[in-house]
Amino acid sequence: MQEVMQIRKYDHARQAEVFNCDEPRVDWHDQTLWLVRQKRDKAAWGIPEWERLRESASQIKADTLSHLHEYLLQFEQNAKENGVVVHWAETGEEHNEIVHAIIARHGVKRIVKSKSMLTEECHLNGYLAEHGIKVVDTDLGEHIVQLAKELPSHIVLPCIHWKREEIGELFHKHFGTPEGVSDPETLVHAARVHLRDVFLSSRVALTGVNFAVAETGEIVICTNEGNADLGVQLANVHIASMGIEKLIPRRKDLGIFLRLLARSATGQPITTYSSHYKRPDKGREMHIVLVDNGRSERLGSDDFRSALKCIRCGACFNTCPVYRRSGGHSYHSVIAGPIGSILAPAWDIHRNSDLPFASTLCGSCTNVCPVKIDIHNQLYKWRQRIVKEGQVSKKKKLGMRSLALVLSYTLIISIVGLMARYIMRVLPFVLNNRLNPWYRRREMPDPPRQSFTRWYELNRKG
Amino acid sequence: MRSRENILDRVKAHQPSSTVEERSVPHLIFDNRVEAFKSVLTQIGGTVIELKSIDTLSEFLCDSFGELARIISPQLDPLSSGKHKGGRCIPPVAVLRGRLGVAESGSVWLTEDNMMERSLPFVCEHLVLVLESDSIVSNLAEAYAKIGDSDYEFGTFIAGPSKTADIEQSLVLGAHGPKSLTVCLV
Repeated sequence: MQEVMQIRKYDHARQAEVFNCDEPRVDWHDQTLWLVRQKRDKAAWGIPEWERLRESASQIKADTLSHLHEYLLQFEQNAKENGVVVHWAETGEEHNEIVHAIIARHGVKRIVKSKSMLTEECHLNGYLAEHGIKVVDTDLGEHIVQLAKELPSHIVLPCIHWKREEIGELFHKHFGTPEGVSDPETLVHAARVHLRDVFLSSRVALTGVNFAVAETGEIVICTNEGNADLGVQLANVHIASMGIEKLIPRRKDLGIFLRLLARSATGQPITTYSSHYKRPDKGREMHIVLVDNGRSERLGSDDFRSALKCIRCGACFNTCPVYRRSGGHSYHSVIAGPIGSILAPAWDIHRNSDLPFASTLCGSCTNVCPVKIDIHNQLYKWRQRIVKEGQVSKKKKLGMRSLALVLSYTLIISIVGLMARYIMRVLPFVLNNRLNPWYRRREMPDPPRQSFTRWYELNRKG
Repeated sequence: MRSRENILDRVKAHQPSSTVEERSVPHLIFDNRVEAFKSVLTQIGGTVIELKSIDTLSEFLCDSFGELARIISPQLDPLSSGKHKGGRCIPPVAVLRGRLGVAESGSVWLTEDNMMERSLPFVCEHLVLVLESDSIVSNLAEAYAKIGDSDYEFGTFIAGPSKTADIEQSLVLGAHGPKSLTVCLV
């Protein structure tokens, strides 16, 4: 492997360290997200059948994946019969070309877009900008990060890393709100007024897709702000981009997924709007772009297939002790958090080889996942693959080898243990210094007086 | 068309064999669906009013929103003016009929044939939905059982006013869509 690995630009641990310089801010970030996790718990516990719902959703998605070929054909046929134009894109680039061609045909220079992680994955905004088309992100959080020329740091709460005072400053600059105003109500109102004009004058609207129903050819889009609906209903052309894994077999399956989605995401019983788009309005166009971009490859992997079940609720972010304390941008990937860490290595194993290590493997992500993806197992499996493919630094490789050696032989582990206990007691500064990453921002525990083996020998009864 | 074939071929080659057995889930049932609906919708920022009869609707709207000229509705003949169509003026108040209500999520299902124009429920400043109490079901599974395979063009569940918590998780009502939602039960 190239030496570049040693000084890589994208490194979660290093970026997290930068994020951690401002300790009060990290605490605030951590607590804000934990609050969302608690809301999720409260909502979930209000549903006696919650665990069975999760199981059922997981099964429906498993069924979808094992019949994806049939469901895709069924969906395409029904959508076409509904008057929708269906496009297929093998890669992100092809997706961008298709979207651009539709926009260009209508001679439009500016479009509105509601939240779509897929278009982030395809880097659509940049592509369209290169072709002279401006994309206005209409979800408030996405709009804020767009004004700041940043990427979302969370898939559901895009600007969770921003403080109200900073947003106030940003809005002062862009919308002319009075300086020093940071009251959320005033700020939201300013954005509303500004974006209303944009909505009313946009002829092409782009959206993501939460669910696509094979049986009926309809797509379902969920928002709280109503921005997807406003965009689509006021425009002449609706382009919906979706990964091929967004399918569900039947309309009635929505009765399971819509019960899980918002509760898992924010603790709401349901999003304010759950809109079912079946046919375009009279005289208008509706396009659906089905995107593969590596999904059909992942489908063939027994280890990583189930990540395709993801409904993008973000629950795994909010519960993750590493995400909460390192911030979304340290993941340097369009989807951060635990789910992003198992998706991103498949997109680029070299660039994203650090992400599966951005976890304690505590398994909390798996426990809250509404479709029961075994996220922590996949993080572990990615680590194994990454090491096998030589995508880790020499330092880490050496460390792991040494640890493997120590842990493989009883004699070595007892000698090392003895030495460590002695050093920690007599010469604590040998371990308690800045060179030891475990010492940074932590207090080291008091050394145990004896090894566990010894303790067990002394305390075993009978 | 190459891409389509390539994707479909790869999917076919890679999709695993099915091992799924469907199990049914018992969904939450409420004894008093109307009360549950009122309680949930109120919690998420909506308002619920029980009208004695549909005849008192105009009176209620006048009391709540002032002069009726600001109101657009297919329910309130002859008030349903054509002003909204094409003109893209923003109607202050829209009054539409909901098809069914869902108690567990405080949501109301409506379809395009009750919207006058599809943008109306989203573009108006205040939304009023008229809903028959008898049409309230316990949960979404029951709602979809009722919706069945009915052939709408566009349908949506609306649960409360448009809202956002994107600024430091502070809830603000009236993000892009209506600033208030009132459900009038009849």
